[in-house]
Amino acid sequence: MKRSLLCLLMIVLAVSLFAQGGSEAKSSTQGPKPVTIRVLKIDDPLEAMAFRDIVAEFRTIENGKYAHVNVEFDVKPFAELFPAITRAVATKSDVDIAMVDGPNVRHFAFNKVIKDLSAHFSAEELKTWAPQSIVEGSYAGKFYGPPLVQSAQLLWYNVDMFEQAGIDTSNKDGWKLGPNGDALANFQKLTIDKDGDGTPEVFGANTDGPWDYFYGVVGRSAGEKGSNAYKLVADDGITFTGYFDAPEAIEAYQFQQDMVYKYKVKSAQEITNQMFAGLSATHFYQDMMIGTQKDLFPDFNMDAMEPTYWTTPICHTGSWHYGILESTKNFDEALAFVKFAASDAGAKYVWKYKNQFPANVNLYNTIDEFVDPENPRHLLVQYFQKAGVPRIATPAYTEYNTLFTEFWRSLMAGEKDVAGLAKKYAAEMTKSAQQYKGWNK
Amino acid sequence: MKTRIQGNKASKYLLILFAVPALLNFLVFRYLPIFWALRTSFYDYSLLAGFRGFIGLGNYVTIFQDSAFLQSMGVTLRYFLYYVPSVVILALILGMFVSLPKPGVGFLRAIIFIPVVTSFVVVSIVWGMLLNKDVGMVNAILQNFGLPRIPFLMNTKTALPTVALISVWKNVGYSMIIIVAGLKGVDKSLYESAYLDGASSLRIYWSITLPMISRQLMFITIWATLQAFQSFVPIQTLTGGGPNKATNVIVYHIYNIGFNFGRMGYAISMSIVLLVILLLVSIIQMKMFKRDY
Repeated sequence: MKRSLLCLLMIVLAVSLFAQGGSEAKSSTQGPKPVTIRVLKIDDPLEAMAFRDIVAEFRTIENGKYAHVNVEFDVKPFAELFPAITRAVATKSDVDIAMVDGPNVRHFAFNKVIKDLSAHFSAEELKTWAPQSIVEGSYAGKFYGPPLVQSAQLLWYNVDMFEQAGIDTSNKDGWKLGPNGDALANFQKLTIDKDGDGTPEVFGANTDGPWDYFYGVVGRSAGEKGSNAYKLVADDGITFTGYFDAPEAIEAYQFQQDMVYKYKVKSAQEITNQMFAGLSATHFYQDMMIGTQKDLFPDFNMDAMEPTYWTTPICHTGSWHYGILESTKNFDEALAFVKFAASDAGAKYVWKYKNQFPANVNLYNTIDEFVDPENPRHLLVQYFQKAGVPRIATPAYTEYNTLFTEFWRSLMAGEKDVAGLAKKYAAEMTKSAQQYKGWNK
Repeated sequence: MKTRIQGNKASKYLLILFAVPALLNFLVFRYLPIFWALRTSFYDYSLLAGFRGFIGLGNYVTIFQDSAFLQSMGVTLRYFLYYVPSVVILALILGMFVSLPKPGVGFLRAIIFIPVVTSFVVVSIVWGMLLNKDVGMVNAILQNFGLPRIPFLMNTKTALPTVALISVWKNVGYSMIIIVAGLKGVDKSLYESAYLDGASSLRIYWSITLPMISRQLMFITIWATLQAFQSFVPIQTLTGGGPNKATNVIVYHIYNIGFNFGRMGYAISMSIVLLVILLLVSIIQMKMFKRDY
């Protein structure tokens, strides 16, 4: 009995194996062999939903030409993504596409991590995206990756607090920084210290993470367009001394510190969702503020105006780009996926779920929120076009940003010799960038 | 007789066979990377650009001329001095306390142990919020007692002790449990004899308890030392090595050099130096414990 049962089991197993083999053989004759492309990207649930739809539509385009392509996503938190790409390259892993933050495109291109895609995008196709995105996705005159989204900043504010402080909310012009500027006067009006203990309950200005994206504009805004301070780094992309620590920039850094310790209109440390929590009256940030408001604080009365500035209005642009790794074995499929995902057809899904400023010009020109003059997003586009500049052009951006973060933390910690601090860090930035000498030739 | 010898041999081979997977694991995932790292430390190596040339002892020579490395080692040494004695002394006190046959000590033991099993990233973020100078709860309490607000993580003098304190809070539960286990193993008759001989509590503690748990003490001291020299998560989450490099401990410095500054060969050579330092410190600590007890 046992023996016959065993025989029966063997027969069932054999039949099922043959059946499987048969179906494989059948499928292999029906179409191209399945291909899996792996994408290394930031961990973002909203973006994940967008990519679910992008992949689904990608597999149907051109009469299902890419129906055999599977797309797998390896997601990492923001802080781990850059090291993860580095590790993937070092370990020769089978990643095909990586999401590269705008300023890091040059770094990866310099190190031959991502492919030059210039030959695969016509001049007409490049018009799909804002000029800033093309600059951010390029290195040494070659195009390395189309954008996923764009970014720009505004000064978002609590309308009720503005009205209580008697500040005109109809004027959207940016306030001028400096000891005699209207920014300080208004921030002082908005700062509330009920018990007079020297620690305000509400700060006029917010404090965010100490990164170049937010605070790199402080020094740049202090200079006239084309000046050393405005450039922040020399045209060689590796000399910071005389630029990062230009006299106007140092004056602006000092004022930022004074806003914390002398005028007490700004907290020294980062506070999460500071404005929504009622701990600041304003928040200098991207249009993603609207998404946070809609999702978490729907009753919050928020509007936006142009950001504060010293001499030159400026905001940093740039967000994620698609980069195809040099090591990919599936270049054609990866390129097709990138082209589709970055096209208006693919980007519409990112807008749908993530609600971030699209890099696709046609797309944002057809979205009501960006066209309606009453909507803050319309102001965002205007400011982006008027004052939006990519972050500094250097292959040493990671090194620079690491040192900038240290510099800003020390500045906000109340370092007394601000000029000395700026000069010290400018020298360190210059030293760390020397390994890229001649990169742009 | 012959059969017994054969049996012993067979069981010996069986034991080796059982140990093979663990040994392979150590070989492949521990020792090979160390040897690979040692080799790489003689090269100008970057994760992205690969091997850019053999430079012999170049990286090692640079280490001892590099003021940033020496500054970072100084910070690490200070962190070690804050952290290790605090963990050991606190673990001893708490271990003794939660070993008392009193009601509620089991609950207390669990409370002290909970931080050990929580994510250090999460607790670091929570501590960062609690210690915020302007909106943190700790400073609100200080202010209610008429004390000034303290920029715990934003001051070059207070940042490192604060991070050390958070790490002690996070890790002391583990050392405490080791001490508790050691105390449970002490033969009760030794205490009875000492009481009968009229020894004071302090004398009993000094002459019986401490020597009897010396192995556990040695373990927690070496464990805490390793943790102190390898501290990374709270630094990355709370201070980023600042302000003004006041918390730039060596592992954070190595990480920065390797991943953010693209000098992995140099970072690896610093890791090798750190490995040698840790081996030396551990040997010294083991010898000290052997000499004393």
